[in-house]
Amino acid sequence: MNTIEALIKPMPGAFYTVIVAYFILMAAIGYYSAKRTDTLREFFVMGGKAGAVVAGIAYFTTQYSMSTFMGCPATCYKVGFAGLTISVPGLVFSMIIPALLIGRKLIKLGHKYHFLTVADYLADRYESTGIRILQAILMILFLIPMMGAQTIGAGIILRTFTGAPEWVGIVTMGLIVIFYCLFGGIRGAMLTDVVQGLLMVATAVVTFIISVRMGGGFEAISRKLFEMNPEYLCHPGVGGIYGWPNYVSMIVLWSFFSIGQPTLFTKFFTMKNYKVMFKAIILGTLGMWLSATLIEWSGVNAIAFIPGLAGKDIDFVVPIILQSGVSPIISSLLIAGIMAAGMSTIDSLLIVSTGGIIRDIYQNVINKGATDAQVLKLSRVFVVLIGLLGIFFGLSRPATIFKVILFAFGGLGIWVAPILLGMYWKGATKHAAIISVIIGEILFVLMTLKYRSWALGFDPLIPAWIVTMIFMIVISFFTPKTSQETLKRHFGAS
Amino acid sequence: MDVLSNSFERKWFAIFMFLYFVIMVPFPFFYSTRYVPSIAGLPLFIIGWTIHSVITFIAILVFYRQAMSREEYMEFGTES
Repeated sequence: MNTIEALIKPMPGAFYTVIVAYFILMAAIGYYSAKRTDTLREFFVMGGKAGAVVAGIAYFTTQYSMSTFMGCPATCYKVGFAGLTISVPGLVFSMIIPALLIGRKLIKLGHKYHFLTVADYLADRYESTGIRILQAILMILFLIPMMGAQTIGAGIILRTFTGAPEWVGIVTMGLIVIFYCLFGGIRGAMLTDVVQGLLMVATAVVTFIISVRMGGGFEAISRKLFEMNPEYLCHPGVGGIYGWPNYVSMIVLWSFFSIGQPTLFTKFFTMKNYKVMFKAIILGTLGMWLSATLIEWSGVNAIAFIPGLAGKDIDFVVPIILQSGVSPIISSLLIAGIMAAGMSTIDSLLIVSTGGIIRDIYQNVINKGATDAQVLKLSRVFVVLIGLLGIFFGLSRPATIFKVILFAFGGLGIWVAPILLGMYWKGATKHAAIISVIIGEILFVLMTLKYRSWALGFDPLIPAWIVTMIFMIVISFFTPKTSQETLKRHFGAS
Repeated sequence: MDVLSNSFERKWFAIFMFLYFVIMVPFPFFYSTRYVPSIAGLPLFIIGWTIHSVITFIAILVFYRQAMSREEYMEFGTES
């Protein structure tokens, strides 16, 4: 059996040269953005003026993280072609479904009432400070682990390529992201996303080409997989993970439930107009298709020429492909693409979490008289504090990257119920929203951690969300309605 | 503006929902518990997913073209 030590060849010289140059570029973008960020609206939603290229690439780089480039190909390596179920069949809906259901309304509400966060929308729609606080607290609870999960990947990469301890990679990546978000806000985050997105696509394309070549071509790879185990070529794949319920779950999870992700939700507030939204969908969907399909497929191809990886070692499949197929400088550059996937996700998480505390709790509840300048200053302090919490979570490493992300994504996905009903049903009430979300979250956590069989083979988010919807509809019939004035503001805007 | 605003929105919502749910149906070209070889020995469902993605992507492009010729989509300008 292959061991990771035998397959990986440390190349610290090339790796440090490329990574340092890359980090300097990110810091320079942060510095440039800082000069253009002087208001709260600029800091959180880029003044609502993001163009198509920035918005589209930022959407897909935020959605796709370290897990897409390390965890997913690893799963495909283990499972075979059925592993591509994770994102490929439903990928083309990742942006169009959220845009159809909530995107256009959010662009309009953002322009008209200057909403900056999910809680801004919910608090206004449901006339409730309680829902604002609940959303902000739950969001921070789920986003910090998501940030930490990204830094874990950086630690693994650094150890692989240089032999340095994992904590060095975790801390360095965390600090660099804190730096460019600290000064540049969402502008810094979204502009760095453009560079990072291009690098991610390049990494996926090159890794795929190398993997096909090393496997001897498509036909030879398919033949080899069939000889090794025919289950590599059909559902539910080796290990039986991707049965039909999980197939459906993966399609719905990364498209429909993106609606509940604050980092993606707020991207609509940044968009200049509807044309930008459409162009962002087209660009973002293409970027997602290229990067996710090709990088995951590379994991399957690798079964044919890197046999024997097992356990946690499967996470290294993409770095091994790159090290085997291209020069140290090029492979280091492409590994920077994987780091980019993590960084581009953390930066949005960081800005949105800060918004949760500063905008939703401090400015709207604790100190309503705070000026935008005071809030902006405090936002920067909290970027550092939340960023450090993310780093500490990464250092504690409680579970695998993919598991942490799936859990955090699910916890936030419950919010799709009050968001959708709030947009499409005048009868949805604040009491129903708060009670049903609490019930949904408890159910989701119980099903994920202890009573998995309750989910009937689906991802726990799906049954938990259905229960949330039912509770919300029923409770709404028996609780006080939202005022006509607010309903007119929200439904008149449709 | 939302999926129920007018007949144009309802029509496109129905088209995308059809495409969305049809990929979940376990047709052998989307989901298969036995190996069905296709081009270059690739499993048939890989080809099925690719064709479905291309069709959906074309639908997005057509929706974009039609939407941008409508007045309500001009509200905040068309500079991109």
